[in-house]
Amino acid sequence: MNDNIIDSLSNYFSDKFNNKIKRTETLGSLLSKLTKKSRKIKRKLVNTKDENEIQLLESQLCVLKAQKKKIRKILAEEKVTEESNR
Amino acid sequence: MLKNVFLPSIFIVLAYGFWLSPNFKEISAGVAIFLFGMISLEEGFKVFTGGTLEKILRVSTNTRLKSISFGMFTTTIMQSSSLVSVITISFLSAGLLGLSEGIGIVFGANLGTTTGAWLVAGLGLKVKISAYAMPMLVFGIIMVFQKNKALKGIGYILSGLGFLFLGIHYMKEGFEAFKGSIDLSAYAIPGYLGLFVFAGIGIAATIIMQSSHATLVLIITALAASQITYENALALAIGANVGTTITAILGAMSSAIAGKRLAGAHLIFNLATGLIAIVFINQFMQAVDWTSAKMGIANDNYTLKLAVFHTIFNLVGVLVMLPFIDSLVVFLEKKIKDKPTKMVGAKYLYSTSVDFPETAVEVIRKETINIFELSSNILTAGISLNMVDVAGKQSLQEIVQQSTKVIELDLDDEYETKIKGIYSEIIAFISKAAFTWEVEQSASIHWLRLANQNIVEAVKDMKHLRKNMSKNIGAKNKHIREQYNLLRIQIAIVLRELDRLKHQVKKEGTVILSLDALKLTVKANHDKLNVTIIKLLQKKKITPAMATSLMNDSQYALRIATNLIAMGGTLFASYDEDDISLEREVALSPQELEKIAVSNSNT
Repeated sequence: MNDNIIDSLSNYFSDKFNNKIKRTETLGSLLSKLTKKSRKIKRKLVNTKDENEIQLLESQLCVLKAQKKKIRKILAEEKVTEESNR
Repeated sequence: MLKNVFLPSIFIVLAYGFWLSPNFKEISAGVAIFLFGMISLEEGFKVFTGGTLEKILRVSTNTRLKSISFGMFTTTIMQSSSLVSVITISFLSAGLLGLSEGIGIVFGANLGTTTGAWLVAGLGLKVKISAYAMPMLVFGIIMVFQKNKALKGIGYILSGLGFLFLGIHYMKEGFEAFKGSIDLSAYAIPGYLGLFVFAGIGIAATIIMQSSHATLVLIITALAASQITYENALALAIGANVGTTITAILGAMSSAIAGKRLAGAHLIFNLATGLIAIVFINQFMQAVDWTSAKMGIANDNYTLKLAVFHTIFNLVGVLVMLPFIDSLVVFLEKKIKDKPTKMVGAKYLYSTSVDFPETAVEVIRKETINIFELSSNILTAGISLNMVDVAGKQSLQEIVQQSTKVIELDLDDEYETKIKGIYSEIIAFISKAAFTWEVEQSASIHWLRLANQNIVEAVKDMKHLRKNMSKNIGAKNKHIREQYNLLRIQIAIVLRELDRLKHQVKKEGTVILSLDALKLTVKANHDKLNVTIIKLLQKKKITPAMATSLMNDSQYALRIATNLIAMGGTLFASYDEDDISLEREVALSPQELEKIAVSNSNT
């Protein structure tokens, strides 16, 4: 019985740990995707003449900046929580 | 007419048979119990389909060999080629599977179904299986009453197996008793005439029972009781194989064109295999004798020899037909074509997909994309533009300035005939498909339902916006004309971007996040327009009545854009629910977007 409880607890925590690792990895890959996208948009912006297109590309750059900042903040916060838990 | 007479005639014939012979009653009851067991077994497997079976299907069918093995394996496990065929048809209808892979699965299912004959002939007749049936039924039924879905599923499978065994037992008993009173083998017909007549009987029996498995069990038990000759049993087995295609044909009746083609392939395959078996019956019998001798099966053990025959002729059928799969696909695509329809209805929502959650989500997604495409045309026409131009590369400003002619459009009629019908079908489909859904699929359905609502609201708002817009596109007042053109551009920007995302879903992978930029652009344009309206009013370039109309219409335009963007996030986002929820977490809130908009307007 006790073994079962220990097993389920260890499964629960290992699942939680694995999910956390997966989440950090996904956030990291999202961050690199956004960085790549920023570079691509900057290059595109140089060659664009259409006013509406330029406005959309500029908005994309602003938004990408804010999103990257948000991801870094989430990652930093999660790191702090993890360290304090230890 | 025939339909109305068919069922009562069957009842009368059966009732007369029951009155005439208690043994016939016992055999029929055995068949009925066996069929009930199959229904129960299917019900049990459906509980476990909740996405898992479909996930396996997706990765196991990408090559022809894999699809054949998959068809064989699943049919062996489920002991029902019909269930596998119906799942395959639903996958084809949903466009998740190609026709040639589908054909591969059906070929494999034909091989898999031969294991049933081995089970009954090898085990069912030797062991007193009714002894196993009783505890299975008792445990199974207790589990069926449990709330836990998995237990319920196991309960259905267990009771299904119990009923199968019990059915076989009754059939066996019935034929044993028959043996004493009537000798059916006296009616045996020798030669090719006998082969065709008995194959016909096999087809008819399978069509009536809707299960080749049940027919085969009936043949094996009758053969074991020496009620039919070995040769006639072979012909009956060939007939059962042809007759089984009727289940696939019935399943395909309510499915998409691809499903109908698969049912066609199934029929062609089984007919060809049947014909080969009849023409080369002597060679097949020799092969059976040779194989049986090698396997140590006694020469007079006809039941096991029937199982060997069933396996060999299906195997030969697959080997013969395998090189022709591609030609079969071409032939079927040529012969079975989509009927052109005037009425716009749902394209993907077929009742066969309702039972399988992942497929159901996929067909709803495809249908929502369909409704979005129709709406895009209506919305672009609503702002007097053409979707081909909007989706093109020309500057939207130029397109809008060149399109000064109002496109005639009855938006109410367009909504009623094109959108409402499909929308209602989607909602009805969702309500029908509410059972073994896992959290993941329920969440997807929730978002897809919202996406549909977004589209419908956008079309309805267009109806209001269009009234003033149509009047002002060609207005003499240059200022009001320009402002309405800006509203047209705003909606066109969103439609162009969504069209781009629709074609780049897989490449991009950050659809929800990229929509934030669109939200920001729309918000900035809306704010700018409101400032301009006040300025124009102050300078008396437009009248107060014009200004209020413009303000109201800019609200409609904003709502249309916002609804479309929200829809885009659901429709074109990644398929991975974890990725989507993470993207939603990172996506900017209205407050965060407002902050950026304010800082942009200050600079």
